[in-house]
Amino acid sequence: MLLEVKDLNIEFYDTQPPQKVVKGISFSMEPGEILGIVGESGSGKTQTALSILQLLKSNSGISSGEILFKGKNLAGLSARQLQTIRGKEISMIFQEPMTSLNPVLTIGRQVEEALKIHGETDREKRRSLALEALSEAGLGDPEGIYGKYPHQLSGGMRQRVMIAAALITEPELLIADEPTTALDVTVQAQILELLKEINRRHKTAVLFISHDLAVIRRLCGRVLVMNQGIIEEEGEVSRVFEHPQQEYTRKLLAAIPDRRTSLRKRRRVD
Amino acid sequence: MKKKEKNYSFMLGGLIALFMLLFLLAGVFYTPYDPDAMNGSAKFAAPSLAHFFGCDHFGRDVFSRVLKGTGTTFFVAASTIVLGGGIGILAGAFTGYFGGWVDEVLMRFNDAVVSFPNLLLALVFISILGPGKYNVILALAIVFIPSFARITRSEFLSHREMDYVKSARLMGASHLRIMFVHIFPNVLPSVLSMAAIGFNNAVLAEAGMSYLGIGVQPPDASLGRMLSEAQTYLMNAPWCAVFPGLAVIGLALGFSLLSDGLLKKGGR
Amino acid sequence: MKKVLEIRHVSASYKDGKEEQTVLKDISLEVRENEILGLVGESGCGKSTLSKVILGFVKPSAGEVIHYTKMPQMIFQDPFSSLNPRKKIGWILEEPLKMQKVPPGERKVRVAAMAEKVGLTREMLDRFPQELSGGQRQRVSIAAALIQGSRFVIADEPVSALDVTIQRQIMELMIQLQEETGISILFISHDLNVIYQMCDRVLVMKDGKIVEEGETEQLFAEPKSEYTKELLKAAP
Repeated sequence: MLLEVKDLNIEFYDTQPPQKVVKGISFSMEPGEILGIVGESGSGKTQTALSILQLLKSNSGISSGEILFKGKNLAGLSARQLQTIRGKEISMIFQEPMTSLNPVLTIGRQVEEALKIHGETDREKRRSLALEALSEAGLGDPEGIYGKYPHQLSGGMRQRVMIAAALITEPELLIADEPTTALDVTVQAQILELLKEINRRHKTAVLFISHDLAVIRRLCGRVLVMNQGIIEEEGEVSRVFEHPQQEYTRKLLAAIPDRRTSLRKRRRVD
Repeated sequence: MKKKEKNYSFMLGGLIALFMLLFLLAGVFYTPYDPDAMNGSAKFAAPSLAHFFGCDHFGRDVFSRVLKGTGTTFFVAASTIVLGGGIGILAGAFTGYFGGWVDEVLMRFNDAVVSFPNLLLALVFISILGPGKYNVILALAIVFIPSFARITRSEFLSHREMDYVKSARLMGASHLRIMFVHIFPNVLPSVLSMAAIGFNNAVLAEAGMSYLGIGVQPPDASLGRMLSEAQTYLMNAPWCAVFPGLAVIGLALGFSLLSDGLLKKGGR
Repeated sequence: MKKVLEIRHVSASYKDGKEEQTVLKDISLEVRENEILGLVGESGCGKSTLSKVILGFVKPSAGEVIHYTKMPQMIFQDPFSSLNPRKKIGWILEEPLKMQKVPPGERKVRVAAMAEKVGLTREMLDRFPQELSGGQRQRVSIAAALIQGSRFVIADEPVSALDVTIQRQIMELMIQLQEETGISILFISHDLNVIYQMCDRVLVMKDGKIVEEGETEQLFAEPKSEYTKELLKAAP
């Protein structure tokens, strides 16, 4: 077992009484698997993802529960202890590739950052690993990109840079919070392919958070459907999509726009 | 989600401001003694039941003078804000909303004005206009225009790009209506906080200028004037300085807390 | 076939610093009466600029825009910026009627009727936009656009910021209102599936040009341009 979340509860403190956003959920991940968490806003999916590395905002926190990563309870670690795991054994990528990169530092600096933090002192080695990571993230001309600044790259390229930075330490778990939401469909498809490829090659487990069922379906093996802080349904993606057991899942699936049925009788206008 | 946090700045600021207002209103209608009447036998009288705040070097009743002086200082500061703020807001609203060359010219002018320290600039105007209560108001108002214009302009600049402004244009609202009915309520919080800061600065500037002898002229009482006169006797008659000083603090603190509180209440 | 809008050979460009960037290249199209016309494309293809040109916010550098009805109204993507945060919903819906000099009594009646039509409760009229959910805010935008009696509405990514279940409700609401009133809608979206489910005809835009145009079923079944094929492949 790579990750085991047991009876996790998360609360917002800035309301009276505190508002529960995650209500005692439990799930686990095997090494190398891609697990999706899907839900609408307010489902608690993002809080769940953020809580693993204690990245919740200061107005919220874990009120009870365990997050076991390779048997070690992350929820009980101090920030300092967690630092040895963050960015090394577990990495994270976010939705907004514009704000998750520092605009005044070169791409190279930012991709290497995790190596530096985790004690790689050899400059040349860092550089060569960074170039390797960039090219593995599907960026042609890594040498050129190494010296560029974030604003010189497109949204899709920035997300690839984020992926390179996240994977340079060869983590065992990558948490991806809506990483394709801000991207155009064609770019989105490429990023999903890239994540699959990385998972296949390095056996990196991916916890993929999204509101988009179609994206989850393309990428994930297993899926958790969250709603209002609880897990409504869990299972193999194909099973959940074809034979949803819960009312909520059915409702959610029915709402996805598709190209099978029109919602209205088309007018012939000529 | 409802925040149930007590708004302490609003309550405390409101309380202080209300107290100061009552205090200065009282001074308009009633003072225990004539604030300008000298009384040789009461020179430097310490605070007592007859003279709550004691007497100054001419034997004038400090309590009566603080009552009057608070009124003068408040009047100067408030007029400054109304005049300077009003013109600044109008200028900022038009330049921010329409942009173009008017904006360029006015903003360069603004830059020129703000490159001088406030008080220094006010001094220059006073030296041209001559001292006196109304000239202080005029000088300070001119000095305050740019800060209001700047903040209003930048707010209008960002709001004119918002979709709700486009909607308003599409429904046929006039530019004036968009500026003052649609956008202005959104700008109000920053203007209010600017006004609070401005009010504080004006109180302090009035005090400073009167202290230097170029503001409110004797025998009119103003808080700054009283402070300046009191400094020579600070050691033997500290009450002459302490009470006007407290009144300055009361005005400045009260209104800045109040505007803080208003912002928290309205802004969220 | 009657039209509500016609665009003939329109080009437009932006000044980005010193460089002139052409964002619309010789666009021609028409929006017909009583149809939902889809406009699909990725970011930077010029679809938002096109809507600005139609509304007169951007002047075209060449070509002409002909309106056959009065000014169209707009429904925006971001319900945070499209509703004035300092005004109550009731005020927002009443304002367009004030512009048309509708007497106060009638205004109240029309606002109440329109609110009910789009599924807003009475007490919501007394709230501020930030006190409503994204879906409710989008209902307000729709109501504000329709209350003016326009025959043509431009909807720029009106459901992109919404959760899927809410998205479906808003799509159904727009369809229902369109069928009731027979207005024309130019429906701009990056989501092919949403376009498929809503539109009679579709325009596909890329790099400032319309690369394909056709009846929805036919365009999705037999796309002609390479770009349309690529889009269809990317979005399952």
